[in-house]
Amino acid sequence: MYKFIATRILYTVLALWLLATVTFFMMQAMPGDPFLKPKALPESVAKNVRAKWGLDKPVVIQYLVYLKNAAVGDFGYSYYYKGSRTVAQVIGAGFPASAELGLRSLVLAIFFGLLLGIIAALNSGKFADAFAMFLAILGVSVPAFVLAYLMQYFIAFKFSAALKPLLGFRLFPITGWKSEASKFLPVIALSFGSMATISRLMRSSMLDVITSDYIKTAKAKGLSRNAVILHHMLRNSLLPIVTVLGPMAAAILTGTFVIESIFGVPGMGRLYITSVQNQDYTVIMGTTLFYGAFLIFMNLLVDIAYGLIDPRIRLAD
Amino acid sequence: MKKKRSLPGLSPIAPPVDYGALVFAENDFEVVGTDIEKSMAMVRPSISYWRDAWRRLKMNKIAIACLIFIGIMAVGSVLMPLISPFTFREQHWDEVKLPMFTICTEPGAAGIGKLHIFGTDALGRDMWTRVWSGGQVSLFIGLMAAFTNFVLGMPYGLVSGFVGGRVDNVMMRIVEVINGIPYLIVVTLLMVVLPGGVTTIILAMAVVGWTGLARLVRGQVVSIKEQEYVIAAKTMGASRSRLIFRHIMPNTLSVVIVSLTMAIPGAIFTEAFLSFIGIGVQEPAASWGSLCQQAQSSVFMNTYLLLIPAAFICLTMLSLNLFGDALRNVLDPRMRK
Amino acid sequence: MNIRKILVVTLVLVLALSVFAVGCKAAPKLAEQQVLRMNIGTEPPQLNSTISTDVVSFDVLRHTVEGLTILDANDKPIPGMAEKWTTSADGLTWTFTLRDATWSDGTKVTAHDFEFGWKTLLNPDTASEYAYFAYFIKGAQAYNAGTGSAADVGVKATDDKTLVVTLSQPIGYFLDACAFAVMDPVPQTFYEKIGAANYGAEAANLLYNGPFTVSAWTHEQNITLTKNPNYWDAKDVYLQTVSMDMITDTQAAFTKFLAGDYDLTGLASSDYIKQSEAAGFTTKNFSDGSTFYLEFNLKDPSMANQKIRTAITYALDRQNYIDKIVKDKSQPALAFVNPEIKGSVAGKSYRDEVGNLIKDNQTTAAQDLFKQGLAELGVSTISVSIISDDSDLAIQRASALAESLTKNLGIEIKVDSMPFKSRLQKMTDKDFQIVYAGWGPDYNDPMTFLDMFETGNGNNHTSYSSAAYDALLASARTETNTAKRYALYKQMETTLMTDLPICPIFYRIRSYTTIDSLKGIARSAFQDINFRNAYVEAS
Repeated sequence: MYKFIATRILYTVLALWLLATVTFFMMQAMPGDPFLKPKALPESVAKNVRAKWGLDKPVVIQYLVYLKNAAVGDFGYSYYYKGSRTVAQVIGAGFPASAELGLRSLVLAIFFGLLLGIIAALNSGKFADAFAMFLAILGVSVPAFVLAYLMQYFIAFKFSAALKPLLGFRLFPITGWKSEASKFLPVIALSFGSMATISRLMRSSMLDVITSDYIKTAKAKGLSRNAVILHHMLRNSLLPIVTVLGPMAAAILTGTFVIESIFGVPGMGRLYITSVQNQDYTVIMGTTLFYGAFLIFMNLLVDIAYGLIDPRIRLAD
Repeated sequence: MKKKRSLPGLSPIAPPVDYGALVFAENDFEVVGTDIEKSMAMVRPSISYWRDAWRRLKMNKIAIACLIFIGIMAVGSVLMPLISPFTFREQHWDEVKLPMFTICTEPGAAGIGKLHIFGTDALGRDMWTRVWSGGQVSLFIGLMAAFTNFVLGMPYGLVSGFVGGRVDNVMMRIVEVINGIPYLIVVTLLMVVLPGGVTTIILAMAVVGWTGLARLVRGQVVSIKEQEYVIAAKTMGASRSRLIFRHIMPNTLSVVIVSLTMAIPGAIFTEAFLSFIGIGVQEPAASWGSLCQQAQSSVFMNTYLLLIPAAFICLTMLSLNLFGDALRNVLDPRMRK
Repeated sequence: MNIRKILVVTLVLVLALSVFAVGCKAAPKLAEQQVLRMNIGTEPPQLNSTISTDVVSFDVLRHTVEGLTILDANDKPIPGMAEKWTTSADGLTWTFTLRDATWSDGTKVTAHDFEFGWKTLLNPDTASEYAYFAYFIKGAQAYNAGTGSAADVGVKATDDKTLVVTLSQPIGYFLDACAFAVMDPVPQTFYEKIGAANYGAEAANLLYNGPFTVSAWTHEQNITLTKNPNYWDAKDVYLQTVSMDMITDTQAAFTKFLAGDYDLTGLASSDYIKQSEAAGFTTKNFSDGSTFYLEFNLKDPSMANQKIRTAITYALDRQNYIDKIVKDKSQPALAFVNPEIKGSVAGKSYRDEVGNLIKDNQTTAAQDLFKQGLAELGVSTISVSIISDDSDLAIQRASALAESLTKNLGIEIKVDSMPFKSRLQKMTDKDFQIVYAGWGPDYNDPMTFLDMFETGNGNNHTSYSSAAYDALLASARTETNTAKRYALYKQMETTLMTDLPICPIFYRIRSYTTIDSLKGIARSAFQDINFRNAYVEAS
């Protein structure tokens, strides 16, 4: 176990270094720089700006300096915020909202996704199956921003306005991330796609399991229907779900730009896109590494979960 | 432990059975020999795996309906822009945002007097023609994305999962690094280095898109290769390639197919997202995603501008998904009745 | 402080004030609640006048920190922190006398705060991107470039009340410039206590001497301004609370306005104008002073041909383009300098004095010119690409323009849309044929438009180089007589509109709307928004 952890840490560091290197040089290759503005800076001004931010040094030196600082946890200051905030502060400000939005959506998506998938598989070919899959397919058929706009207009605007005479207040705010009511729509909008993915995978994986011999055995030896479903089917059909869950969780928790920008959630997704648009180098690097580390961590959890769900898979060294 | 139950009326040891008058003599039986010819003869015509799949697919009415719909979409996308009286890029400045089923009156237009079936967009371009030519782009992007996912992800996942150990570990770390590289940077960079457009979008999707399938296949392989029948085959001396192609790969197909049918809508959505942040297909070309995106600001005044391309996306996705499900059912050996 | 508390405090203050107001002059009929709620789209990176560069930061700073002068609703500079001023005969030395005013911590606003603020702006270590804005001060450029010293910069507080400024050349817009946020005062003791990096990074990290103070700043979500009771002109400030959200999505912000969450909203395109008018709101318009135009790359073989450039410029039907495609109150541009720029005599704009310099909708003449141009190049047709931004609106406008040129001249034109920074880089690298671009003024003088076409200027992406133009520019820079200087400007612009390295298209007019009871909002070329004297009228 110790050896397993040690090698995984080594791999993680290696992966993060690779990620940092690739991102750094790709970022440098992008046209423009953080201080490229519609109005060109006079040479004297440009020189001061470059000197202050260390952009006057050769790229390789900048890279080495970045690695050296990053190694001790110093990810620098945001260019966009003119040096008033460190990258850690910027991420620290955006992550909680994204994580909360993501976690709520993920829980919702997993719960209803599994439920729909199981119902569909158990009633394979019947009406319940068709209905559950229709719901799921609807989820992957509507682009997120279309769904978000429609929800915003019809539920937050029209529906809330219609209910106002009854309730005395507007039920759902149009944007924002404060009250419980304001979190309702973005969470649902974000969970829709993942819910559909999970339910479809779950259904297909359940159907695999249902036809396998050990289920027949379990049924034959007289186990109750619920026991078969709970102890034998569920556990064994979770494997493909767990595989997609790692990256899905990382993507969802670190924020989805569309939902965050439409519902005005002050999160990481919005931060990331604006940092790319502004070419805020340090924030791009910081968010990328953060995202990468998060992903690796989630995948590690997936690997451990594999072992727990399916004892035949041992944790390889 | 469950209690052993004995059935009432049955004693543990059965009494000898009296067969009465039924007594066999030794010459009652005759050796007829083995008729080699007969035992090898085919009672029914031989059916290959794929022909069987096709036969069973034909029985699924919904799947066939979906297949026909996808076919109509594909053929329509190619043909409609060709036979339409309007081109997808011609602008009629006096006829912007016309409602559906309006007759073109723009002087000098080749299609004067003809019907704008889906109305016109903000530049007076015929929506009917644009939606169909957008279909070309969207379907092409979707298919190419699924194809590249399959070509890159499947072998990668197979090798990683099958070989295992150190190789698996390294291969999966590589996947993680690629997954960690922000998609947006890849796309923006490629969009600027290469001429922007469909090829660049597909390339960008290919660079990062296959990792999901690779992980999925690897997960399946890891689980399948420990199963009894694989171990049995291994013990009986099956070669590596036989193990992979005969025993492991076919059993990952059902998951792969579901994942691929999702990769198509996934790719079409990704393209829509790229349009949303402004780096999708290049004007005047359109895709369903970019049509939705352009309609965004007129959602509440000219709702049809959003609903039409959205409906095309939805219906195509619906068909693809239902068809994928049906395909999965017929391809999976375990689903045979 | 939460919103409810703010509202309660507001209410109390309003009641107190309304009692007070009754006895005074004929004040506007005020509603009980003087609250303005609006969206500013993004977070101001830092409210530090010495390094801010963006519109949003300036919108907040305009209302919270006050310079020597302020702009009235018509962009005319009026006394701000400076009560009065005198100028020397040669126009080089200005002496300002400050009024009695205090910072929000109770300390006095002194002339030393201005000296310190301006010198901090110019300090090479500050690395301010807007430092060049103050280069008109004597010794400023040398200090900023690292070749001079702070002591030689021509700004001196002779006592707490008197500020003496020496300019390197007389400029017509000096008082206008003093109202710009980068010229704001900075209290030295406080600045040094907070530290340069954190100055203006939080509500508490900044001192206020303007009509409002920042009372709450939730990063990435909201900034709330509260009326500053100690402001010298507090009696003319009616709003008690101004809440500014940071919603990135235009559609979402607009829906919030329709739902009554905001009192004011921008109308970014004709779609929004249509929706807001359908909902019963009146559209308001203002010129933001920017001119939109095509830039030709004179290094490109086909664009180097003047006949072709002229043909493109004369072929367009600008009014038709605005009516059918842009669909707002924007005006056809038949010259380069925006009509918002003031002229040589008060009350007249430079544009009024000079008039139009090109013609449009000359299809036949343009076609002839185009044929001649092709003959000169020895080709039968040319294909070009126009680079545009990647926003929907930009692509739409560029596509329409391309289509109309294709129709009129038969040029094959492709629209190449790309992210903002990529476009800027292509322009800087001069790697383009035509760019669809816009230019807004930094200061109220034609020079802000005209100096970009100097040979080798960093903003001269067209590679336009004319000895005659450069000579005129050099004399205009040193000409102290206003009338003569404007005559030179006219000559320069005429040269420019003959050589046509650019093709002007329209002067942008932007649209917005407010709830009916909100009065006194000023928006103009030099003040994106000014609600200093705005109020909510009682119904």
